[in-house]
Amino acid sequence: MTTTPPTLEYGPDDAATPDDESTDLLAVENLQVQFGTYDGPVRAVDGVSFSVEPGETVGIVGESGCGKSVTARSIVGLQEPGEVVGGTVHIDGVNVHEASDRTRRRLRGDTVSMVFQDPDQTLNPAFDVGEQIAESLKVHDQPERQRLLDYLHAPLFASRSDWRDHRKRAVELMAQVGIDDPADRVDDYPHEFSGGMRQRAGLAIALASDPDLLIADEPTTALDTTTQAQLLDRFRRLTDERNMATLLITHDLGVVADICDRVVVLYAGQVMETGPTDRVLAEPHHPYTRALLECRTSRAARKQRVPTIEGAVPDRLGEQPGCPFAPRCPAAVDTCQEGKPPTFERDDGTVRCREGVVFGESDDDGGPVLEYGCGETQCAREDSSTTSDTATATARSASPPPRPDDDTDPLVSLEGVSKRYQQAGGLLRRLLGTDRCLQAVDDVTLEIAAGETLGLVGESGSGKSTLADLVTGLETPTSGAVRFDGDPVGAAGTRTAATLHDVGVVFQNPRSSLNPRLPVAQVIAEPLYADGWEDQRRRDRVGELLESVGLSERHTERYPHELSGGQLQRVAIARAIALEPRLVVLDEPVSALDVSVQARVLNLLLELQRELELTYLLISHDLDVVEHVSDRVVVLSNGEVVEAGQTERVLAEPSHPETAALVEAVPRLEHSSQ
Amino acid sequence: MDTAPYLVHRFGTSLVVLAGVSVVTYGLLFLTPGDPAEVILSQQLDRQPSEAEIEAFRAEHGMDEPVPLQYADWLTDVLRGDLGTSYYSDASISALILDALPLTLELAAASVVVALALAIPTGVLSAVHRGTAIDRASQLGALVGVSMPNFWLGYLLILVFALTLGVFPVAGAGSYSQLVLPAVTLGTGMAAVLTRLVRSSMLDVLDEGYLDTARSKGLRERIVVYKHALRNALVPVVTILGVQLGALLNGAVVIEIVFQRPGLGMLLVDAVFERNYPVVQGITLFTAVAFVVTNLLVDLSYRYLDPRVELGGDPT
Amino acid sequence: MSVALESIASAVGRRYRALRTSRTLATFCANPLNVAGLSIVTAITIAAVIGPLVAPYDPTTQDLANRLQGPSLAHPFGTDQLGRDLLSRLLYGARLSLGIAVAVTTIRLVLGTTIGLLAGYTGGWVDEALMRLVDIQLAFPGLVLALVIAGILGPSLRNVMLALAVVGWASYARLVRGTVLATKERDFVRAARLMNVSRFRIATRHLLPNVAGPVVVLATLNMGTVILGTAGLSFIGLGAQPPTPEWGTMLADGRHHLRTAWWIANVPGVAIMCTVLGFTLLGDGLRDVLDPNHETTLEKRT
Repeated sequence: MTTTPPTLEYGPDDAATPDDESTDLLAVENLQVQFGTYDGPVRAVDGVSFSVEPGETVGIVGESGCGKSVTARSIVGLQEPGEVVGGTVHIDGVNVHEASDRTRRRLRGDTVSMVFQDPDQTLNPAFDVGEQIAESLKVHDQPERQRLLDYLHAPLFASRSDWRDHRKRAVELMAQVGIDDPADRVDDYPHEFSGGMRQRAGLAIALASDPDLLIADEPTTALDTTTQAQLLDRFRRLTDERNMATLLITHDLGVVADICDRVVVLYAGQVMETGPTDRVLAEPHHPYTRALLECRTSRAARKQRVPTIEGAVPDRLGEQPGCPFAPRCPAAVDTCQEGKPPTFERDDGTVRCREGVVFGESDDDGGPVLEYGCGETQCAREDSSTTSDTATATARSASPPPRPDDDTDPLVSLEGVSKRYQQAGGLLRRLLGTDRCLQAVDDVTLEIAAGETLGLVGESGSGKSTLADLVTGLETPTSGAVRFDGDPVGAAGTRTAATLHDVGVVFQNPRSSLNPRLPVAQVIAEPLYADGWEDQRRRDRVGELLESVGLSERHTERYPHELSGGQLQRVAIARAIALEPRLVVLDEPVSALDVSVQARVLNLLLELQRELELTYLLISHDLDVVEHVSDRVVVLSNGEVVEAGQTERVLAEPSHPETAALVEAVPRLEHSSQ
Repeated sequence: MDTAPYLVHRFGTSLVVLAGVSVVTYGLLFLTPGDPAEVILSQQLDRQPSEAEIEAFRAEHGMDEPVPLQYADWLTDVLRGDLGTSYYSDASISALILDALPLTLELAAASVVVALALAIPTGVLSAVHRGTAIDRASQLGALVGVSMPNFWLGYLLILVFALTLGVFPVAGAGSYSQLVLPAVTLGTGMAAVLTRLVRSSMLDVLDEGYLDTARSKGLRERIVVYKHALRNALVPVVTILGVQLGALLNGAVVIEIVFQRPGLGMLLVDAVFERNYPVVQGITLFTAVAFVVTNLLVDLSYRYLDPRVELGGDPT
Repeated sequence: MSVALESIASAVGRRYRALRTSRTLATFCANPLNVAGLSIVTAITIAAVIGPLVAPYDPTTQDLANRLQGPSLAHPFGTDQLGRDLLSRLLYGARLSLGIAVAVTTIRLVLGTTIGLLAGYTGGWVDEALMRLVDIQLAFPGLVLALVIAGILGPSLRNVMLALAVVGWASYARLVRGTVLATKERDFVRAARLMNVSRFRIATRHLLPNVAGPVVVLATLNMGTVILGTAGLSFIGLGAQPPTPEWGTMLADGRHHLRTAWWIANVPGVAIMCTVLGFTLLGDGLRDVLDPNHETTLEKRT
């Protein structure tokens, strides 16, 4: 450490000297980033400005494709695949994009660190975890002495004692980020770590340089809710202890509410609104922020239509005048379509919108009346025209939802069902006695009544998807029986055509569940073809189905890669209901989708259930979704049912610690006021 | 994952494959148009052999027994290390192979050195400077190298370096100066294949997220590329190196003829033209076994290069 | 009738629209190397088809008075040691080389794809047995085995073709099996199983089209390898027998005249190189477009 001067010296080539106007640790000014695509340059980030002060936690929120990650990467100077075409980023007064490579490396090794999104991608698979953390420590200690042969551990060129010291400190860091038995795990390779552990190791690498600013790009998105809660907690503690500023990129408003002081809302590469978290979430000024909050299922009444944002995120090809949100904004006026919307500085943040729209007639009500439907605070004063949609929905579901009834037989019942997998079996292994078993589902007994929605929740690896596969027949139970309508059923191959027709399935990832080589019409017609329908009848039915899932005739000839995620999931739903099944198994049907799209797909599922009297088995890790849709809920842990009951009861007063932990882990907006 | 069961499995399948290889090798004999004994004798004697002579030849070479028995006898001998004797001389085939082998091994080793020394730096530079003049030039070079018949390249080198400049001898074997041209010929062909592979593998790795992690630590780009990226990019290269050994043997046959090196390839070609079947069988079996064993070793070396490889998965 | 017409019309419309809007075509054409590959392959194909019709001389007629003539107006590529016109021999040779390459590649492709599809889709002991067969084939260095087979069968072009076909199918089988295994676990195949779609239809409609891309790429690259293999075996003396105008044999003839008549060896050498280069470039280009990951990189967003 003695080699490092107390203050950083930046080379004379760096024109930028600390700005006298700000004490900001990070100042982003009118940042513009483009990527070249086949259709021309896309404006991924289109004039973003914001700042982060020392010690502060700032959240950047927005849906996928709005430029969050690109902004984060541009801050540390990782520009691929984009190109910075305008604006400046100053960290500690240094202009990142004009700095020399050396200065930028210095910044990365000293002032700013980054944690990335994908746990499968953050760590190098070829080196053990300790090595990767030690490397970060070494860069921080001796940023100028980076010799390739030393880093390759070439004998004679690498200092063994040096590396040994750094490894020791790596173990300490691993303990700090919450990795158990760090001394044993320091030699493990990334593939031996779970996703959560890898993200922790990524955090350790970031903390190794003792940064002033930590940039975290969706660090918990790929993780379980419980793991996410633990990691967020760790984040909060470490940043407080070290008085580190944090820039957190996320799509989840719950996460923002949990740990951010201030929030920046991004849409289509532009900042829509900034302000203190409490204020923005409670009293959003911008119509987009408001819409984003409204479409959360946790805000809507159970089984009711969730308000949605119509339309899609625009392509940002070339110069486009006006507010990017205008085409989807119900409060938009003609002037929104032209010129740049002005940014208003207020005591409680900034908002970029036409004055008449945001601070118009209804200013004192906390915002204009928007057509998003029924938000909790707005319901009372909504006029009848805007609630017609909601009103009909309420009327339709006025009849009490069907409950499992002792008198009627259940549609599906599982009796003591278990599923064991032999890991890497084979005669030889059995002879050698190295056979290993994985108990995926353990003695599960449950019933699904006709017409109800049963929610299946649990952490990943708890056996949810295996249980779904047992119901559909993709897997056969090792012991126990699955009954459909009272009759035992086996694997899909042994089921009768009628039984197969009675069960429809919607998988998690719509991109992999549709054959990329078939156009939409043929994808939907596949079950009809298998059932021997004639050509004309097939085509009529496909038309009907498309209409009922809200797709138009012009989609029939499209190939899957030409459709968006939400549209693809609609196609998958249409295929699942093509033969009028009685049960539809929904395996994480909305978890791959953005919040606003998620809301629309959930609305569709609820509508279809009412119209077609469907029974749903819903698998989800998202308790908000389960709470919104399900009548009853079953909690799985390590393949066993630990709790089951009416949704309200189970989620409000969980009796099993596992359930309580799941409920506790969900980041909620409501916490923000505490 | 435990290594032991994997090893047993891997060795087990290798044995099955070797058994199959021996059956195929032995079966090659039955592809001959007509009666092998008659064909061979007529060639040896340079006239139509009599019935009695054919009978005698059959008895001498065990050809009068039923085929499975012949195979069993042959295999027993092979397992004892006895590949039989040549039809034309009484030399033992094992001795013939062992005599020719050093020349071929020398050529193969020198070619691999040439290939790796050319391919790795070129491939890495090409990937790192993607789309630049360096990349285009090395890609074009590699493409031409892949497309050139190696015997033609051999003659071009002879024309330039031996006939015109007189730097290296035209042909022959024994000295290092005689090794240079054949090794360069064979090595550059292989280098062309490897360069393309290193480049594409490197390009894949350069997109990986962990390089951003490495960069965000403040590491120099040199270390990011040569430590973090190259290590991962080499994994597929090592796999292909095992398969390339086969290409090397293929190439050696032709190159040995071009440069008149009396190695294994030349021995094989001569035996093929002389219809010296025991020698053909012996060399075919020998190369196949060598190939299987090398690929086994390559598989095992994965464990070191790529810790992700669970040595328990399906080996195919 | 009208229904059938209508459905054909819609299918054609769909294909046309897919082609027109396809980034595939645009991506392919964006790289000049791909276009170069396609042009070379087209040119060679044309030469193979019409070459013998436009060739100025008979490829086998000897003219000892004009032997070892350098390139001139009468003989653009010169003459060989027997006074035969090299250009004419080259053009006839193109038909031979390309014909053999197409035949051999077709046999390899059909055999390998069938075996791979069967192994990957059936699984169990069928898979195990077929894959051991593949292992056994791959245990022999290809050209060595081809040389031995062709040698034992007796030197002729037909035997070279047979030998090359027998030693090349295994890589197709392995590729197809791998893709099938990966595709089989994808959700759309699982969905098809639940929709009571027959096994045959799953194989032909859901698996095969997704396997086709990589196979086409392999076959294109393979054309080049086969041409090199044929030339190599002919060079050794196992393939085409004199006076057949085969490129490998022509090159072998020229080796004795390297110093005095460099063109005899180098003209067929360049021809082989250009042909193989064309197929390699085309194969690379096809790999870029038929590789489904390419689509995702184009669409990659934040």
